Order: sequence, then C-alpha cells, then structure tokens
Amino acid sequence: MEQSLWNTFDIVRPLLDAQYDNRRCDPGTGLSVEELRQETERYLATHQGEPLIRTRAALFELLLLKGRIDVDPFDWFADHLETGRILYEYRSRWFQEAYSRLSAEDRRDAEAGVRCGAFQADLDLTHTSPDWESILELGPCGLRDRALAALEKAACDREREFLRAAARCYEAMRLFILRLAELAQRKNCVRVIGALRAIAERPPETLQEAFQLAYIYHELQEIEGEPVRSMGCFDRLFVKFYLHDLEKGILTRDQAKELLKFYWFKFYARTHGNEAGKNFCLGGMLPDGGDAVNELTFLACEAYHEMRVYNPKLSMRMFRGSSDAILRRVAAYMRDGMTSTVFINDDTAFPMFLKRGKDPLDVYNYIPIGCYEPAIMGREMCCSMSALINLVKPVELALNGGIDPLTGERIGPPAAGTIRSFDDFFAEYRRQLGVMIDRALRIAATRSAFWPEVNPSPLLSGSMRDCIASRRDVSEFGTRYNTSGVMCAGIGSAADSLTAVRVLVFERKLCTLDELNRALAADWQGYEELREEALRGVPKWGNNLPLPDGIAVEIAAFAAGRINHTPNGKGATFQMGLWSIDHCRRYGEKTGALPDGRRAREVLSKNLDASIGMDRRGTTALIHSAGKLDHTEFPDGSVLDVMLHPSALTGEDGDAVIPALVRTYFENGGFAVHFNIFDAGTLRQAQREPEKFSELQVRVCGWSVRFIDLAPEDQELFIRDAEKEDL
Amino acid sequence: MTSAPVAEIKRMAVHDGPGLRTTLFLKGCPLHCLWCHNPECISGAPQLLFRAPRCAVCGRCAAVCPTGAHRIESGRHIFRRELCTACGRCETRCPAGALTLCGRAMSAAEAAAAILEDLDFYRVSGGGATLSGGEPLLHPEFCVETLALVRGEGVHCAVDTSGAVSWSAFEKVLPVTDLFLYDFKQADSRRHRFCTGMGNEVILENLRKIDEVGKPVEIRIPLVPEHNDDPVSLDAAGTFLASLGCVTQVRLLAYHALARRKYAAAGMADTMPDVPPPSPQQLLAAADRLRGFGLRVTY
Repeated sequence: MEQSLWNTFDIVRPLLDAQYDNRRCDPGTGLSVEELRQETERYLATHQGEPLIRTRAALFELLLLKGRIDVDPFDWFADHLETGRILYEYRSRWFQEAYSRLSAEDRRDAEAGVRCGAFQADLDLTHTSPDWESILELGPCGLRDRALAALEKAACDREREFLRAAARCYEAMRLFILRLAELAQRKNCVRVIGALRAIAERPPETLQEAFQLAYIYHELQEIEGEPVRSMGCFDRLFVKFYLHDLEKGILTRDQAKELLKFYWFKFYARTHGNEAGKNFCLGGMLPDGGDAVNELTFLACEAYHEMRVYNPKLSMRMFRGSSDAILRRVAAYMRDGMTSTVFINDDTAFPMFLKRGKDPLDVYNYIPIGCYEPAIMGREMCCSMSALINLVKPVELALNGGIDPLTGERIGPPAAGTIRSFDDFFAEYRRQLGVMIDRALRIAATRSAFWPEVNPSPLLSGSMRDCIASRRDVSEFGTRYNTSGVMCAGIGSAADSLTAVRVLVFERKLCTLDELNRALAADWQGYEELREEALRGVPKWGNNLPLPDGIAVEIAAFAAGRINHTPNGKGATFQMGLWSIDHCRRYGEKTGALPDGRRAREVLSKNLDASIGMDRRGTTALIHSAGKLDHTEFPDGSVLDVMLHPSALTGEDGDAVIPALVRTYFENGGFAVHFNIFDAGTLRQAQREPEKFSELQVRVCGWSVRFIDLAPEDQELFIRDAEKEDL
Repeated sequence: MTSAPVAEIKRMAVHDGPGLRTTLFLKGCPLHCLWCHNPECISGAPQLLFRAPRCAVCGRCAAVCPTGAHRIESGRHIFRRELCTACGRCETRCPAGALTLCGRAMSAAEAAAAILEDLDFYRVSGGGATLSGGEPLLHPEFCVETLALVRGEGVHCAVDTSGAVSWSAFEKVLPVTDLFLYDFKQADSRRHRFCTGMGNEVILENLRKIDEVGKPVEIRIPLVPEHNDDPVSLDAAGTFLASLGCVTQVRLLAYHALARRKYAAAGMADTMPDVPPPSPQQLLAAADRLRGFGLRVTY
C-alpha cells in the first residue's frame, strides 16, 4: 500500500480518541435520531401482530439504511452510524410488557433478594459473542445466502420467519457497508474505500477487510441490542489474513501492527475505558495438541503494549507445554504496568467442558465471554450472569432463623432446630443456601422463557451456524449449547465466618452462639475483645490452612452440586461460577457484621481471594488455598486476583515470578488468574496527585481501569490491600 | 532435633538464589555492619519489635504485659525494653500490628515443613530454599538438619552467609548445600573492620577453602557509597574474586536506607550511613569495573 498513508497512528490518536464523543454526522447522509424514532414508531403502528422477529429485522434494516453515517479520512476503518439507542428502548418496552405477566410471588421474591443483597436473577442478554468463524469465512453476502438456502428445509412458519429475518439483517448490513463506501468515495477517504467495497460483495481476504468486517459486525450487533463481549480467539481467526498480506506484499509487519492499533483503539474510544472492556482471546491448545500462539500473537502483544491502553482486554489461554516465550513476554509487559491480561488454563477448562457433556472437538475453541466465563466460540449462549448468589448471606440467615438482619425481612426458612454443634450450624447454613439458590434459579428459569417475546436476535443468530442448522433463533435456544451462569460471590468471607463460628463458639468456647449474634447485631460495639479474637485468633481462607480451606471446599462443592444439575429452562442446566467482580462491594453494603470480625457493610472477599488484609502467609499460600477447590466444577469460571509488590519483581530474577506463579497455580488445577502490581505508597500518591498518575492501571475484577478514575472508596480498598506488603 | 531463632520466613523470594524460593532468616550475627538492613537479626535472642508510628495507644499490650514493660502514660505508649522478656503475649493483642515478636525458636522439622509447603513452586521455577539471617552458620546443626530434610525431597539448597564463622561450620553444611550466597564487603581488612567490626581474614580464608572443595558461590557485594564503591576497593575485590574458580557470578546489592525504621523498632542505635543510594550510573560503572576482571556481574 501507499507509503504515505502509514506511521500516522500516534499523530491521529487524539482524533481517534474523540471519534465517538458527541459525534454529529452530516444531516445530508440520512435521518436524525428523532426522525428515525418517528419512522420506527410508524412501522410498529402499521405492523401490529406480525412476528416480533420480523419486526426486529425490519427496524434494524430501517436504521441501517436510513440513519446518518460518517467516515473519517484519517481512519483505516469506517463504521459511524447515528441511531441513538432506539432498539434498546423498544426492548425495554417489550421487557416490561412480558414481565407484567410474572406472578406476584416471583416478583416479590426477586425484589426481596435484591433488597437484602442475597441474590439476583434475570434474563441475561448481555453476555454474547457471535460465530466469528462464520462471519469471517462468509461475509455478509455469504451469511445472507446461507440463511436463504436453509429455507428449503424449513418445516414451519416460525422457522421461515427466523431465516428470512436473518437474511434480511445481513442484506441490510451489506447495503449499509455500501453506503459507507459511497460516502468514503465522496469524501475521498482513500484508506477505507477498497476494503468496504470488497466485503460488501465477498468474504474478507486481507487483514484490513477482516478487521473492518469484524468491527462493523460488532457495532451492528450492539445496535441490534446485544453487547458483544468477546471478539473471539484473535490469533487463530486473523492469522491467515495476516500471512496472506505478508505473502502478497500487501502489508509489512509494522503496517499490520499499525492497522491493529487503529482497530483496537476504536474499542477504547467507544468507552474511554469506562466499561468492562471487550475481550480478545490469545493462545490455547489446537485440536492437534499444538499451541495456537503464532506470529500474530506476538504482534498483538507488542501492539497492545505500545498503545498503553487497558481496554480492550486480553485473555491469554495456556496449557501444560504451551509457549513460555509468550508468557514471559506478557509477564514483562505486566511488570511495565500493563496488567490487564487474564491467564486462563486449558488443562482445567477441557475436563470441565467434557464433564458438562460438550463435544470433545468443540472445547479447543472456547473463549472467555465477559470477564472469565468460558464458552464455546460461536456455538454457545452462556448467559453467564443469569443469577448472582451472595454466599455470605446464608451465614446471616442461619444465625437469625431466616431473617435478614439489616432489613429485618424474612427471606429464608425458620430455623430447623436448635444448633448444638458446628455440624448443626454448617447444616443450617447449607439449608439456607440451598433455599436461596433454588429460589434464584427458579426466577432465572422463569424469565428465560420470556426471551423470544423480548429479544429475538436475527443478526446474532444469523451468524451462528447452529441456529441456521436448527432454524431457531438464539432466543429459542438455537445454538448447540444454551447454558445459564450463576455467579457465586464471597467464598472467602463465607468460609472465614463459618470457621470463626466453629473456633470461637464450639472449640474455644469464648462465647455462645447467642452472644456472638448479639455482638454482630451491635456491629461489634462493646465486643472489641471478641472481635480481636475473631480477626486474629481464627485461621482465615487464603493462607493454605486446613480448617478454613476445607470449609471453603465444602461450601463450593455444595453450591456446585445444587446449581450444576438444575435445569435452566433452555434444555440445559445452570452452571456455577466462583467469582464476585465488584459485587464484593455491592453485596458487602447489604451484609451485616460477620463472625469473622468484619463490620457491617464492609466489603466482602473478592473473587477467590482472602478477605482484605487476611492473606497473611503470602501469595504462594493463597495460590495453594485456591488450588484446593475443584475448578472443573465451576463451568461459569473462577478467578484469583494476585497482588504483587513491585519489589518482588525487580531485576533479572523478577522476570520469572509471574510465569512461575501462573504455571504453579495451573498445575494445582486453577482456572484463571490475574495480577495487580503496585505498592501502597504509589497509590496514596496517585490519590493525592492524580494528574501525575494518569497511566496507573489497576485490574478491578474482570477488567482494568485507570486508578485515578476509581471512586474514592474503591481506591481505598486497593490501598488497604497493598498496605500489608509495605515495610 | 535442634532449633534456632527464626526472625522471618519469606516466601516467594526471588533475589536469594535461582527461581522462587523460601528464605529463612535466622537470628544472630558475628558482624555489625554499619549498613545492616536486618538489624533485628544481629542479636541471637528473641526480641520484641515495636513500630511506634503504627501504635494506636489502645493499652491492650499494657494490660497483658507481666513485667510492666508496656505502660500508657498521659496518652503515650512507653515501652521499657529493659523490662521486656520477649514472652510475646502482647503481640496477639495489638490490633494495629505495631508489636511483633521476632525470633521464635523453630525446630529443624518445623522449618523443613514450612519450606516444603511451596515445593511445587520450586519445581516449576527451578527454585528452592535459602537459609539467611543474620548469620545462619551460627546455627550449623539446625542448618544441616533442615537442609538435609528438604534436600531429600529434591529441594535446591542455598546458604546466604557472611563467611565470618569457623570453617567447621562450613564443613558441616557443605554436603547439604548446592549454592553459597557469600557476602564480600571490603578486601581491605582494616576498612572491613571499620565497617563491620571485624577483620576479613577468616572470611577470605573460608572462601578459598570453599573454592578448593569446588562448591558454586554467588558473591554478593552490598555497594555502599563511601565504604566500598571506590576504584581501589572494587579493583581489590575483583582481583581476589577473579582468582577463585567457584564464583558463578557477582551480584551488586545497591545500598538503600529503607531499613532505617527497623532500627527504631528493635530499639537499636541507627548506624546506617547517611549516603544516597548508588545511582544506576554508579552501579553500572562498578559492574563494568568488576567485569574487567572477567567476572560475571549482575545487579
């Protein structure tokens, strides 16, 4: 390609950064958002009673063909389309209509679960990823024609409606791409014209065409109404385009890297890093047992490092015998402050999938959707946050006969009998947890049944080869795997609390259960000595100590047993995840004082971590504790956060630390791990002088943010966690 | 089974030999280096560390102290170290983490068990165990027993020593040691005595004997401005070290004053030199000077 077009990324970066900010497209290119809304309203008024999926496709087409568009001359990719959030608005309306038919009991239970910070359950439409292989292999024309070809086999109107809707979406996509191409021609945006014209009529052949198609697809699916949470196995999907371009002399390596920066930066510019970030997966085992790491993997890591962003986010799949070179490279970038990569273990993921009855040929193609929730690329709708469970709440319910202490509401059954031993107490905890889980799953399953009335997704479904083969939309469970994830939060706080009850009440007999309960009701006021014992005299999860670790293992096994076999109303079962993301704080705010010494409303333990400041025996002990859990029982994923002090990583020897920690955790059966590297002093300084630390990034949960963008109370949590490492 | 006073167990140590390691710091040292960064390890007796800035003056330590070493007087915590018997009762009472009992006696079996807990990390990283201090070879029997126990499980064993002990101590640990981390502070014995309180004859002699036996040795030079970073000192060190065949590498440890707070916590007079840490340029210059003698130098 022409030389003068290159080496511009750093120059135009500010323009790229602002490309979505209050963007106003040229009025000459189409209708305003208000005009679009009038047209869609008119459509709805004149098409009452038609199948919703046809309506969805028609509205989608209308936006794509009539909305205002724009193309930037400095960009290598075109995508701008002004639609507001019209389809989201309709979806909310359809949601309300459908949910108005929920039973009073269902609504009451769901609302109480949220109010008490016990559980949440809903139809989860926010964790999706399309069939990237089909998209890149076929392009919009091919996808349209695949849907039309399947019409022959359609056995009923419902199937025909679906296939026609899907074909209509992809024809609309093709016409939209042509609109962009014509505008680009008019505005002389020479970088994008060729690629746009190419993918409007055939599958992509060059790297630019492939990126252009992937990005347009991403944008259009989000217009349709479902966030795209994973952009697929990046190195596997795109390496053939990269090699094609190198071979044909279309791009040099450096030009490919620059192109990738333009591509990735669009994701950053969309949110300025203020949302959870889109996931790009690298590496992992291939079906022949080889390593998926290739030239593009290294190029991608390099580009990512040079861009110094934390969004999109990278996931690095590994297995026994996978490339050490890429692991060392990523670890070195982490030391340099680029900590937004999560490592994921194929050696745990594969047996986990096989246990769930997945096809052995499918498992090689999994991706984390959202943060770490694993799903088969293009074949699975994982709905990974269908239900959220606070594992700590049943401790409170067991102590209070089913009453939530902070709200005074009854959300659990009355006590089964007098508690005379720790075994009695643990049994009561399990009983309360079981009731809570059953209730949450029932609510989630009931709401899943509303999916086709709320959100048929012809564009997303049209990408899925399984939906075309089954002639069913994703909302009618047309993909091969239709799972529902259940996030379980606070395993560390739950284990610590049960351990404290055992040690304080039944072993050392420092208080009775009633006295402990009074101390908790008083938020430990007047019981400071007992609280000291609870904090310091009781072993804690995350320290490789048999008592709390054993209890955590039992809690997790009980929850997994309850969740992993319960039907989800979609022809499959629910699946447990053991992570919390930021619900450690949200649920913490609704959880009273706990037997482990924590005060009311303080944060709960995050993901698989120890309670804040309680991993006193160091990182290796934390890894050993987490490794005791059976991670193949958490098919909705699990993750450990490791906080490292920079002093542990200095010098040449420091390079070995992160690889060794990751490898050892994975040998112990762990599933996913990510890192934060900083000292409390730096964080304090960053709090005082944010202008000097605009680049300091922290991994919050499943995503990274700039430290200075965190709320003060969240900053405080990181500082408290880092303080224990300082001299 | 012998025991020794253990000041600290540091897991995931990466600067005390190859790979990820567990380092045991034993108390007691024959030297008194001005710049010592583990001053709490100089005395061989257990001692209470009191980090006054952390103290919340809650008085719980005073309530349990059997000798009246802790007192609260007009809103201030008075610690009379001379009364403290290092019984450790106050440690668990302190909610602020201001009190730590340093130097609990640990048996070799307990030490070995603590080391073996991270066996999988050593295997993955090529790491192992390091005995440090203080001067670990003031407890040669403990070292031998501990290292023999873990070595039997395939753990790589290193001993981090000042060298300022009798050769008989080395003879005991040689069969169970894979690597010595050996301090070299100053080649000039007079200056060595000024900095450490002792001449260097025994240290150099022991190093020569290890060389004869043929055990690998990583030399560690704490690079302290005004005490051993001058060309004369470096050249003398280079000349001596280059004459040995056992030296795998020389590691320069840049002086820093981060340990200053520990002197106060241990109730000791702060002897740390009031000099800035060596700059990266100074480190590089010192490393290059030593490399001139054919030595492999890292920092």
